[in-house]
Formats: sequence, C-alpha cells, structure tokens
Amino acid sequence: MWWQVLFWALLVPVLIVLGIIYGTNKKLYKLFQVLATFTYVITVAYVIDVFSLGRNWVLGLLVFSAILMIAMGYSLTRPRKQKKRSKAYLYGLGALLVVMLLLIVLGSLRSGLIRDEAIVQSLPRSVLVTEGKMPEQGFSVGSITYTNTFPLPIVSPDQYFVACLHDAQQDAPYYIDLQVRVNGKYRYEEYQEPFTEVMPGETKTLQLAISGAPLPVRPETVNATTGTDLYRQYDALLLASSSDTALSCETLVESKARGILILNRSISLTD
Amino acid sequence: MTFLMALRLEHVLYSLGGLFAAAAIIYFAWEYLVLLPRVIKTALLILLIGVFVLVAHHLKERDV
Repeated sequence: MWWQVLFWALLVPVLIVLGIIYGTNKKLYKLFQVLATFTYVITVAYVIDVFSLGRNWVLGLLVFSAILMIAMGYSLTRPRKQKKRSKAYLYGLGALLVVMLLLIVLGSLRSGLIRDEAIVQSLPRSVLVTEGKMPEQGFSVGSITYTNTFPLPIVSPDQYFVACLHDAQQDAPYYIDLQVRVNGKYRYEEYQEPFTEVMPGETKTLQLAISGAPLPVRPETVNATTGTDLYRQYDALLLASSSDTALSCETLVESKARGILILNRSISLTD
Repeated sequence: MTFLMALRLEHVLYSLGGLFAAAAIIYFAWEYLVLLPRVIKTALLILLIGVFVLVAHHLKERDV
C-alpha cells in the first residue's frame, strides 16, 4: 500500500503549488490542470501497487505516462486560436459524473454475492486453557464461503472479524486471537483485518480459527486457603463479523454475535 | 480587528462551503469508496482525471 504514502507525501506540496499558482495568476483553470495531473500520478501509483503489476506492465505504464506528460506540456505551451465558447465541455462533464455515479451504484451492489456460513455449535473449554499445544492451523471455529454470481467484483461486507470470551454476569469481554485464512492461505496477523474482494464467478472460503499457543484467561482472585488461582468464568465465545472498523468486544452484545459457542464449565487451575 | 472588518460575508460562506464539500468528500471516501472493488476505484480515478480536465477546459474557455 505504498500508493497511500505517495498520496500523502505529495498532497502538501501540491496544495502549496496550488496556492502559489492561484496567488500569481488568479486563474482557476490552472488549479484544475494541476489537480488533473496529481490525480493521474496517484492513479498510476494505485494501479501499479494494488494490482501488483508485472515489470513489463509497470515499464509500459511509466513510458506511456512520460510520453503523455511531455505531449500535454507541449500542447499547453503551443499558442491556440481563440475558439467560440461551447457547452460541449459541460455536457462531457455531466456525462462523466453520471458514469461515475452508475459505477458507484454498481460497485455497491451485493445481490450477486452468496454467503454460506458454517460455525461450530460448541467448543470445549479445555481448548482455551489447557497447556497442550494448539495445532499449527489453530483451532477451527468455522468457515464462511462467498460465491460471486455478479459480473463485477464484489467486496464482502464482512471485512472485520472479532472473537471474544464473554461473561454475561460481569460483562468483561476478553479478546481472543483469531486467524483468518482465505482459500487455505494464511493472510492476517490481527483479529481485525480487511477481507479482499471476490472476483466474478469465484468462490472464496474464509476459515476462522482460534490461533496460537494456549489462550490466557485472566486470574480473577487467589484463594488463600487452598492456594488456588481462580480464573474468570467466561460463559461464551462470541464470534462476529462486520464491515465496521469499530467492531470490538466491548461494543459487541450477544444478540449481534453469530455462532455463539457455549462454554459451561467453570475453570479452576493450579500451578 | 481591521482584518475582521475587511472580511466579507460571501467569503466566509465560500470558505464554509469549501469546508463542507471537503468534509463530504472525505466522509464519502471513508465510508463508501473503501467498500468498492479495485476495478471500480480505478475507473473512478480515471474518470476523475477527465472531470478535472473538462473543468479546466471549461474555465480556460471563459478565462476564469
């Protein structure tokens, strides 16, 4: 995602240049010429970065951009005959804006995305607290399959995932590391990370697994007489997905969670 | 004080309008554009270049 770095790095110099140009010429059209050039540079960077273009494509795009910029510079310096005012530019502008709006609407449609969810109904509490090693792939808690039947790529609405141990009485959720694999490939380190888009005709399966070493459960109190650590008793593991970045254990309530995994036994562990 | 007296109401309104427009664009990008597929985003960027070029031509024709 280096194009974002380039965008923010160029934004301030471009704003300064815009200020200088308007201050010296008082011509608005020059500002739009600079904005068009800036947008072009960002578009090239975005395409190269996001689509992970091969070296031939990158070279071709760079050469094309060089020729285009030189040609544009040359045409701007050439004296032109004064044309009659026409409304053609305004019509063109209207047409472009309509196309942009249509693309936004088309890109937002998710009717062609079929979602199939298979979340396990229960999970042994021992999975969370035993000293035994977890499998390398983590402990599977389910999967979500997306199939795109729409002719355009669709971004899944489930972009962020969170798993939390929940205590109904004390209402103190505890974050659990969740691995998200896409078509078997491990993608993310964090439990909340964006999910990529599904291409037309493609099926993508997200495997959700509790990851890593035995998961810690915080000690609540120490029993002085027996020397036993009493661990907090969690009632459920909540698993939720959302397109909202604000998804968190604190804001998650049971009614919103999908696939509630009930853990019935209380935990009392000794050293 | 002199600066405030020289401040014209229309300039204040223009500035407010600009701020609202910028806020709307940023909010739109944050909440909606982020969920669009990459192909659509690329097409929108290319069309945006066209929008800027056409606006520039239109303004240049009128010497604005």
